Amino acid sequence: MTLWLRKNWIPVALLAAGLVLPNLVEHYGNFILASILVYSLVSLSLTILIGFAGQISIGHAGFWALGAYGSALVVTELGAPFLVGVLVGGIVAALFGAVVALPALRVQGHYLAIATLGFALFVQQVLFEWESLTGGRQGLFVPRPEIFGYELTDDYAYVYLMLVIVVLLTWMTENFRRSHTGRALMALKMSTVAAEVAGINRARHIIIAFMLSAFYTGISGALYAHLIGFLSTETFTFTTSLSFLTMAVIGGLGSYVGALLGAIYLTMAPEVFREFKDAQMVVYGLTLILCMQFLPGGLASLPERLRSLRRRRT
Amino acid sequence: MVANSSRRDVLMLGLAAAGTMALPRLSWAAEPGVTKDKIIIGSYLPLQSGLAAGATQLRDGADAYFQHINDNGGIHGRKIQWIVENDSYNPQQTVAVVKKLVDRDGVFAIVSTLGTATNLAALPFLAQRKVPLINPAGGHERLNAPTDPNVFGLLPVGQDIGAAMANYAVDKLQAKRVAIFFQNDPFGKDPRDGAVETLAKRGVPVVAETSYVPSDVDMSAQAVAMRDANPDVVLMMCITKQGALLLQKAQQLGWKPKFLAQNTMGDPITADLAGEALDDVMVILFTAIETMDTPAVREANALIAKYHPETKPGYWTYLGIAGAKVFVEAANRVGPDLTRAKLLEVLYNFGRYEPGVVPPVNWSRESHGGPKTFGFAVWKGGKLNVVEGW
Repeated sequence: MTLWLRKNWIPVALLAAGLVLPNLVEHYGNFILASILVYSLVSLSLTILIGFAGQISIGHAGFWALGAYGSALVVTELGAPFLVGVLVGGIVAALFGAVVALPALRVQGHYLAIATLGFALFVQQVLFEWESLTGGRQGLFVPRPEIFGYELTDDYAYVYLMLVIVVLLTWMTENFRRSHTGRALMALKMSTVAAEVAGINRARHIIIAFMLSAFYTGISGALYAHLIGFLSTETFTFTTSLSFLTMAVIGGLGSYVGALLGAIYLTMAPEVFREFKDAQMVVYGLTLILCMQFLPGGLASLPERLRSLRRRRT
Repeated sequence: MVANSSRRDVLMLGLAAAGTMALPRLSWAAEPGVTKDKIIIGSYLPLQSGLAAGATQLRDGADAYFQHINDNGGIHGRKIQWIVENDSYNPQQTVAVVKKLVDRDGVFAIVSTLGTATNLAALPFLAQRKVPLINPAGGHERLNAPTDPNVFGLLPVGQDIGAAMANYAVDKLQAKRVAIFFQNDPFGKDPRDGAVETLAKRGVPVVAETSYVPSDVDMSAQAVAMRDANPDVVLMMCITKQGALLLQKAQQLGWKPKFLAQNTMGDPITADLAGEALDDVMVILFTAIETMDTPAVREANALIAKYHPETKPGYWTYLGIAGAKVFVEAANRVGPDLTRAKLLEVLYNFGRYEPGVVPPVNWSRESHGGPKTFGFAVWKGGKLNVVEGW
């Protein structure tokens, strides 16, 4: 037991913090926690796509939008329960993830990035123009989450629900990473040729990676929709995709703590830097540059970095 | 957990989380935001975004008016503290800001905000807490013809602007054949819809409709298509740049119908962009223009010159001032014992009130949205002159 705890104390400590924190903060704090959890799922999805599979996407706002609108519409138009909506949001995004994976089978790097960007712009435009379904320019009001007849009007309860979802999906991700498919993806990332020679089907695995990543982002979008209560296509822009990518890189690709740190950064940066008034974006930009300059491995690499600095000094 | 994590990661997480934790400022006052000598109110503005220019002017306008009131003794002895937060035009940040303003800063009301999607995202929380929201600038019915009991809009509904333009064209410009030039998005389509409906009612045919998107840089096709339909009045629901381009093209073609444009064409920069082609073009107004010679506008111009000389009076500044004026007037009417419930009650019984920098409002419990009456002005030699006040 002690050995298990020593090995797993970080997830245990994080979970404990997650359970305690909502009780220590008021509405504003709980909304911030909820936002962190929403973004952490996107961060996790990019960990899978970029960290595990070595693919790039600057179009994740597209999957996020599909999840958000998917869930909102299933709940408002078809009267489906909230959790079903969230699941549908994830599935819709995953299906489109398979489509976006197709160019990834042929192109890499910059070209893939542009293909994903095109996808996100396409999704945004269609959602905007399809007025009868999405409200288009008028936007779409989304009801608060409701579980078994209880409406979660307060973010306090919603945070706990999200916590369950995030823990569940993180656990799934860890299992996925250790699965045959997860290991195959990492092999492909290290050397495509070597992996293929070893009998790994590249196409199949890339499609799985995109679908899984899109699924997580879709779930996140769905949770976001019910948290904010109003959807407008202006939310799902190229800037949003870029901020997602920034979040993943700042946090540190390939580690769960990094994914969480990235989400905390994306949520907290505007809250903290707001104090700088007109200089807000300058400070934000500076922290990004400094972070990349001194912590190329992201925030998650900070302890390692400090340790190596200390070693050099002694 | 993946490699590379250690105790310090968790420490960092703890620190980051602590940032969200700082407990709320406890206030024992009976009413949030109202103390013995202060009224704390708030606003969220997209100060860092594509709308930053307008947001800054709106902020400076409202701020100038609040400073003026404070310098003259405040409201029943209480000074106004107006907390402005940036939301970067991101609804997630707006909701965060609004929760911070209401829960942590304990604001009494929200006054003069900007952004359609952002304002709409803030509505459910503000409604739930019954926080008065005065002058949420944006283009949506829930902001401009609000049904929420705590929302009070000062901007007209797009359809009403178009209807007023159509009526003016028929009544004052003797229009027999109308053409419509509009921006193909909510900004242009709503007034276009209002105009088309009104013209149909009045039995005046729309002989041509042309549109553009904001990235377009050539209006030749639109100008030619409308000229060929031979209208006597052209309604323009457009922004400044494309409007100026259309007018220049019309001048090149030697085509001279009467132009009646939305208020955006009243911006001083229009004169630089369109030059002589702007002569005789008419503009519908729902905020003041700098040259309007009324006591309210002269006062507004003086206040901006005094408190924010770096800002020019214009659409956004007047709109910011209008929100501030309505709040101050309402809070003054409530009296020394200021509560949210009493403020709402006063606003429901506001009746006709003239902020002067925007058309008069006429609020009741059932209707507390933007104006239905408008002013009209005409360009002459690079100057905009009022033809008809509101």
